[in-house]
Amino acid sequence: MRARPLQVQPERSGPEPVLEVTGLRVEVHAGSAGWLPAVEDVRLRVGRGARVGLVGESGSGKSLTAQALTGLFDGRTLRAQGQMRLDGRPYELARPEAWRDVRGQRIGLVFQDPLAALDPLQRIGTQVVEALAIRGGGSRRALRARAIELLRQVGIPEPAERVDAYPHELSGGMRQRVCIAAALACDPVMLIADEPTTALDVTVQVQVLELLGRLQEDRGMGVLLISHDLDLVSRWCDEVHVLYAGAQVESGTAARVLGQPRHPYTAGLLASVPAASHRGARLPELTGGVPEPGRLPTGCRFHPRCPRADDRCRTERPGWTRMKDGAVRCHHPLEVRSGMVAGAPEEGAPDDHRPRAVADATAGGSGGGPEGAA
Amino acid sequence: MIRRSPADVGAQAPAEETSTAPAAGEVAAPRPFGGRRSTGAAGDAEAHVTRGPSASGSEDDEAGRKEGDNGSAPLLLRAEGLIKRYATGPRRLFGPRQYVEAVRGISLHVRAGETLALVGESGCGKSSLARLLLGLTPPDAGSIELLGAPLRAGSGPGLRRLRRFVQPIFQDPLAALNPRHPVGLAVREGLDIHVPEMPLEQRKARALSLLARVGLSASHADRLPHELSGGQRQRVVIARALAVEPRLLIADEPTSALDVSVQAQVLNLLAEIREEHALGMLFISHDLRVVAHVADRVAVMYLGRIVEEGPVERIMRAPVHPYTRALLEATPRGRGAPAAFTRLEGEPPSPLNPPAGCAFHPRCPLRRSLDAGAAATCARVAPDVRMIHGDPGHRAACPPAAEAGRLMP
Repeated sequence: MRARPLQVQPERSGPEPVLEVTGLRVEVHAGSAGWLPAVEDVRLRVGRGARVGLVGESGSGKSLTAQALTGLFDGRTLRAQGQMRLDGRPYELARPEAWRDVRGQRIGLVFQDPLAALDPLQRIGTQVVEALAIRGGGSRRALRARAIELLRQVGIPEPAERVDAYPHELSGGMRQRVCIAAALACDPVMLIADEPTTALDVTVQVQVLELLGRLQEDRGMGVLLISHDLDLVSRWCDEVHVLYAGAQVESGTAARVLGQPRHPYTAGLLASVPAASHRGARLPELTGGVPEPGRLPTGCRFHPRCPRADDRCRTERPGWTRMKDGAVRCHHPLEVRSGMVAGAPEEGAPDDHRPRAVADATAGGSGGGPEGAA
Repeated sequence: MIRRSPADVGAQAPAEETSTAPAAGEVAAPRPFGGRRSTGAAGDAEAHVTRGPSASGSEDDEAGRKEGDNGSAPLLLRAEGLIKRYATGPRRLFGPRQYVEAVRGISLHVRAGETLALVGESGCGKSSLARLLLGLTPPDAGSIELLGAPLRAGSGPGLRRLRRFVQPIFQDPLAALNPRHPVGLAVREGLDIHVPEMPLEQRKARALSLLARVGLSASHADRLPHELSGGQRQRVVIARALAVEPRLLIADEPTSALDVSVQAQVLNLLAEIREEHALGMLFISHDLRVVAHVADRVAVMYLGRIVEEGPVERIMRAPVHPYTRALLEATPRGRGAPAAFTRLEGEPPSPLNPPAGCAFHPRCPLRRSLDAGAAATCARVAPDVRMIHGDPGHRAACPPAAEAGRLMP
């Protein structure tokens, strides 16, 4: 599944990327509180044929990022700023109406819930044809034939008959395949998949990921896979960006970020994934939760939950620290693991936000997490 | 403190058990628990009881000796041969109604201090089973015993008394809590119902102490569910379940809606309270990572039946049923692509139209490697669940595996 060599180094120069996003900021309108920043200063770069993952817990801003990049907002409850370069052409994220034609044609979209994404009253063939017709061209019969061909490509058995089925007549996995077919109808250069397998059973999840992988390779698309599932992302993607409370905290190759996390949040998150190796023991936990927009802590947003936080973390927002295979945004990144890892450098700093469990979390994450990084 | 009456109910258990004890003599015989009249796991339970303090130990069956199954702990829940059908499709004036069989003959048991995990994909009937065990809906066949007393769904003081000993924790706490009740009241409610004789002040104090136990402060008690985070809400649900001092928790996907860092908090909390109160727990989940962490024993369900059951280490390390193997291999566990075996074709079949024979046969990777005769058998004969050779407490329903000498005849 991942036999290809990595084609892109994150954040580095290279061939012209298919998608490049800089200075992305998304704000949500919260009634009397006005506009609150929910995503800030996100940078992404997706190389041609690269699989990039965006991981985060709920409230991290990953889906808002997807919305902003696809222009799926009206400016009343959600607004975005920032620049996007897609296939070499610049777009202003703040004015999605100016680049509406990009969505669906240059960028394909796959969502979590295929039942919500499909029109329940339309035959699936009609919906794929509709997507094909955006580009125009062809008689009705020709479009239908192409729809059947697309359905065949996404692994729908007997596509010539299923083309006339309604969404409710298909299983969850088949519906998601239909959504993928519709997303690919205009041969997009970029596919954004927001939790595409979250609603599916594990055995079906594998099938859909394999399908996405095959289509991605055949077509040389860039894919941005948005997910809360660290294991899934580490398995499928080349590169990973970890979001926390609307900001990127760590980026790099999937193998490095998830195998050797440098940010305490990434490490804590990885450590809290249950596994047989933890059996009977307490799971290392990150106490507390993701802060809401409008209640963001000063300094590093993770500091109230962080075992390494000190005064500097509480006041000063960390910048990017570049490293081999990626970058991290932390004043006190975890050491590169070589055997045992020493504790937090600021040993003496007493901190009321420093629960024992988090210390365990980071220790667990860097000292042999559940995924047992080889 | 609340006076706990389960003690008296519990006292009935041995009497009940001994009356059915003769069945234990047949323990060594094949025990289908896929079928309608099944003994299966329940037979096991009986064996345990007869082996109690005064038992002769002559039977000393393999089946009774389970890792992670504390045979001496009181039996909290025993279900035998459960079947549940739901009417479906349009009601026609003439002609029979259509039924979908969600639970197709399930037997299981849970002892005090033990966690039995029920694993399966959507539509396998695990939530229907939970509803049966909670007495929310009556089974069409089979029996359920809580602490030795039969649970009859419906109503009445007897059911209410039993309800107290088994408390649910559902996936969506927002749906489980009344949106207009402050969470302090939600926790107190169980006490209001089950121990109305307790003075109100005492009930209030107890609700607060329970909230404190699950990590919420008194200031949370006056809040409404929507003012709390998902993890906090699930803590409220756990506190509410604990209020009536249950013996058994039935947790249906309790952490599926939570983020992984919050999931860890809730799983730890569940582990602590389980330890503190020697609770039995039926933990229903689709996530094998979570199951591997929390369970003592695991039962794998496929289309309304248990296809494999055993101690968690054995299920995780040496699964026998091809479906269990596929599930395990499909579960993301870190680096690398899944093994080729995982390539399960198709999706879980609809319970509306279950395949004949072994329900798994249309997707079975093992079957593809069989000769035509054996493969035809899979499609024709619904397999029994049988003990696995040299693997105490581990059983599976797969004829080719039995053929290969792995299952006992």
